[in-house]
Amino acid sequence: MDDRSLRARRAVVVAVSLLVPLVLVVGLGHRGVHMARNVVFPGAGLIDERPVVALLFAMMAVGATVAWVRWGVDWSVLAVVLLSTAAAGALTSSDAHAAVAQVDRAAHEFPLVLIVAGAITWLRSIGGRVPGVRHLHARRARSMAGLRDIDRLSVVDRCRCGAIAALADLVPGVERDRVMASLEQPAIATRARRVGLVARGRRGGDPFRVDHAHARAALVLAGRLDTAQSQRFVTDAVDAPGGVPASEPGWVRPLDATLAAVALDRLGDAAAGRRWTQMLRGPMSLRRGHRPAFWWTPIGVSAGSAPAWEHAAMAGIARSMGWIGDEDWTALRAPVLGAAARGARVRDDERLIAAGRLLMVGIDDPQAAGIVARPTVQHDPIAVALDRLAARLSIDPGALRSAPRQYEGVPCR
Amino acid sequence: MTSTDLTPPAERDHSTPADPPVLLLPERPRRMGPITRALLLRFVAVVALVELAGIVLTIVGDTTWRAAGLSLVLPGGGFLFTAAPLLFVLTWAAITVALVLWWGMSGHWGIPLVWMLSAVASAALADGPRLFVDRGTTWEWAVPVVFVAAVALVAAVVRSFEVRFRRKRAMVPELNQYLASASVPPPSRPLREPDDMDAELLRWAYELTLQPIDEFRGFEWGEQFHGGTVVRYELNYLGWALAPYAVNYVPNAPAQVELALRNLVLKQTDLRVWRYWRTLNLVGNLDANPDPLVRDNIMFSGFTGDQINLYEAATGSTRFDEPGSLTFVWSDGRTFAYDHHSWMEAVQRNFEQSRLGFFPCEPGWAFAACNTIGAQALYGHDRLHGTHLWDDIEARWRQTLEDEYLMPDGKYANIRSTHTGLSWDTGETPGGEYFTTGTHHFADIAPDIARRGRALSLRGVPEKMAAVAATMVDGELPMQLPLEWERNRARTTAVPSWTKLIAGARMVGNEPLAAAAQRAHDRQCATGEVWPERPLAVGVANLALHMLVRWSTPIDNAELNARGYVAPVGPLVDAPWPAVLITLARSTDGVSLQCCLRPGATPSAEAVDVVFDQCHPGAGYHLSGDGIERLVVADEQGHASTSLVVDRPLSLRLAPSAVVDA
Repeated sequence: MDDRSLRARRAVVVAVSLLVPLVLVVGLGHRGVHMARNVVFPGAGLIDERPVVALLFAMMAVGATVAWVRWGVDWSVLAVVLLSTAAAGALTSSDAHAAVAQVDRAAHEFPLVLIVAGAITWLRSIGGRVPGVRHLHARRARSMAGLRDIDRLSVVDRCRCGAIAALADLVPGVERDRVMASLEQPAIATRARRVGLVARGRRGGDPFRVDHAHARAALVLAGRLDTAQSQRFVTDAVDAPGGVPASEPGWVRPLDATLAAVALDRLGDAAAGRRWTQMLRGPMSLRRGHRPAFWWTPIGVSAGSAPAWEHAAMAGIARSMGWIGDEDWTALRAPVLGAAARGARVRDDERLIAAGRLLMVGIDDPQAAGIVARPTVQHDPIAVALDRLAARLSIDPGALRSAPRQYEGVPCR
Repeated sequence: MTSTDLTPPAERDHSTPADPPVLLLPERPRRMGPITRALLLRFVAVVALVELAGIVLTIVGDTTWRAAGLSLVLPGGGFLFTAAPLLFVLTWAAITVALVLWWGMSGHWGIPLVWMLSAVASAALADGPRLFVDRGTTWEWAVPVVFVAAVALVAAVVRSFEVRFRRKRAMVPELNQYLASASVPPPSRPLREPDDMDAELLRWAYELTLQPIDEFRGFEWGEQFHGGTVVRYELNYLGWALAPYAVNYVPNAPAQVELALRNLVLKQTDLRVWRYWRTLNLVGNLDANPDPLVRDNIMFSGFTGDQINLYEAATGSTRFDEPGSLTFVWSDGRTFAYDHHSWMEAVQRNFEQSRLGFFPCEPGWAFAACNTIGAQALYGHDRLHGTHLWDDIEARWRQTLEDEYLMPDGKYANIRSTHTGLSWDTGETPGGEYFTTGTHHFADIAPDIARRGRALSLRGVPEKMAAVAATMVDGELPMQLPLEWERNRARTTAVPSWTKLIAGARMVGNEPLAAAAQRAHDRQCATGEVWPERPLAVGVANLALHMLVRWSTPIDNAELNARGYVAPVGPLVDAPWPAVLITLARSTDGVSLQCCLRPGATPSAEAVDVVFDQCHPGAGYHLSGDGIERLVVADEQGHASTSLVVDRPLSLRLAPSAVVDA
């Protein structure tokens, strides 16, 4: 999908977002004001007259947003907005207090839903910093035994871990066996099937035929995707708006996309790197020290800030593939050193330390190298996988680029 | 390391002139030094101004102003006047908390804040409702009571100081007479052979120090400001204990102990160890800079500076001289890069910038002990690197010690406030003062003061030690010492008492008693447990201090600090840790090597490579002892190796074939 189409879609979304409240207010009077409020935030238009219903819609909005962000169920947000708006129209009266009603004409549902999504993320991060909660997180993280405990990760993280471990080219042994066994578990396909069904109504067939970048990348890199599935992976990537498959429907996440681009490169899709590089220089470019957390494909909008460890891991792999330069290290140096100072007790710090080691391979920064080398990375499976990859690249910086291409016969458009 | 370096001092050739006479105490001691007086006068002036304001308000003001004035005369005094005794009690409870925080967290503003708040609050509540009495009630009797209490408080403080001063001053003639004629016995400094307990202690210390740098298994964690669970001190003490082990026991096996000592220094740069400083700096200096060396904090910079010197003096490693080798990283990624030199320059800069001459540990509190260790650190750096950091400040440092900290009876105040000049008993040392301090007791930085302090502190000790020695039966001490609480109140233990007894016996040259006390200590305090449990029934800090005393012979850290690094002569030995623990590796003749290898925690029948270095190139050596008898030939680089099964303690001798033949 070209830029013009995406721009046109964005313009339509903005116009509809502005026009719908306006039409409602102008066309339906007081009732329209209440309905417009619900367009701004589901439940807001019912708070005066039906507070319980308003609360119900607000909760549904939060749930729908979580479903959208986690599993790509974008229609659920639209459904809640429409439902709450209709409910506001049906349940509100048209008495005189309309005179004092105000409408925030500049608002529309998309940014507000993003705010809700951001708030949820923020609350989670704040919760993670509360001393007791932080201690519990750290305790749980410390109880993991590296790659041997890959099965304790969520399916998404398990796939990421498997993909990174495959790039690290683990020596045969218990760890490698665990990683491979983990990627063969039906839970990965089950999740893909459920997400496809709920988000896009996909029934039957290959659950990996569209999207699921993390899972397909892991399976390709581990040699667990057959030729037909690999062909579909390449086809999907070429057709995808960002040049790489999405993680969940509509969501292109930087680490998953980078792993997918490497996998596509391995499959012989020589243009995959070029397409992803364009994204890394365009909508996913470094802004004020951060890379976006996602790129939403329906309208081509990137937003948020990728977690530091994801950013560093993505940048480390992309840099080793020659897709980006050293600018990410400049941006991430302080956070990586801070994580190294805090130590590897908390999962995200451990991942950031390992990803930092990966990112700084070949970078002449002896002070940082000494600091980042100190913490012992041994608990979180993804961190251990990143650490192994960093170790491999520190011996052979060109290892990823020079890896043999699989399935050279996969047709590329 | 030459053979004479390990010869006990008593057996050395004393060709130097006799020691000069012991320094006497000032016959007309001043109550306080000039800087302390200036600080105290400033403090008194401020308090006097507050009192004056309080008196004026009490005399000329209405009820509201009188309440405020009385609270200025005595914190919370206005509450008594306004019939609110509960608030008076609360004020003094708050004053007590503020006092603790002043000492514990450098909250210098705590007491003034409570004081001023009590004035404001008593004025604000002057016309307010009362508990149990009518609104607007005032207790006129409170006015004289408050004034009397304030005067009594000041009088009690002044009297306490004056009585103490006069009592100490009265002792001067007698003490000087003693000093002029005192014959202090020389200390005993035997060249010991490590025993089983030494091996267990060393093994535990290696397990603790040779774990990954970022891991702290086995350390005792608690509050990190200045309690008994401060990890930086545990690291200091362990470094101070292992340095004499390196020079006295394993000078010819530097590899294992060098890494252990290095790791102890590197662990000091772990954020968990030094992050306390930012809190102290913020509370005490109102400065959010987390850099632990740039301002104050001598209990870290001085202590660890000394530890780095001893590491270098014991091992010869100059790795911490490399720029940035000691880099602190704050949690936001900010870095504060130092090395051995810039570290010491920071310590010296703090000394130079201090008005008192000693600079604070916690903001506002300058300890004699910490400033002595800081001075040791500068001195040691000069000895190692030929710099003049200590020379530049020595005169002023001595002046501060002798003018500002010395008491009439030869003791030094433990602490002095750099804001108020006040000093008090913090409970850390008996009476809050001591005759000598620092870890070297002034022996390296001020030998004359050290001699005086030693003479004073040993007054009557030989007799006491003789009395204890009289209880020995067949060379053993058939006794147990009572258990006492450790400073962190985690457990009771007899180890510190034994450590003091061993040190005391050595100080007066009673080696039979010292050796018997050490054996008795081992009998009472050994746990028989292995890593990660402790081999002695004591906390980490006191265990390390015990090792420090145990291993500081014949060379102690004061001598090591003055001597600097001396490369070992004779063959060197190395074996892989943790399969093999080397507890002894010495060459007393410069050509042969005496070594003791012990198996790892789980003895194995698998052979390990034992490597010898610094042998005569191409020469043959006999390795013998404990059933081992074999010829080892050095290559052209003086390198040799052999495979040994170390499944039991092996006491071995490596000697050139010619020596063996002879």
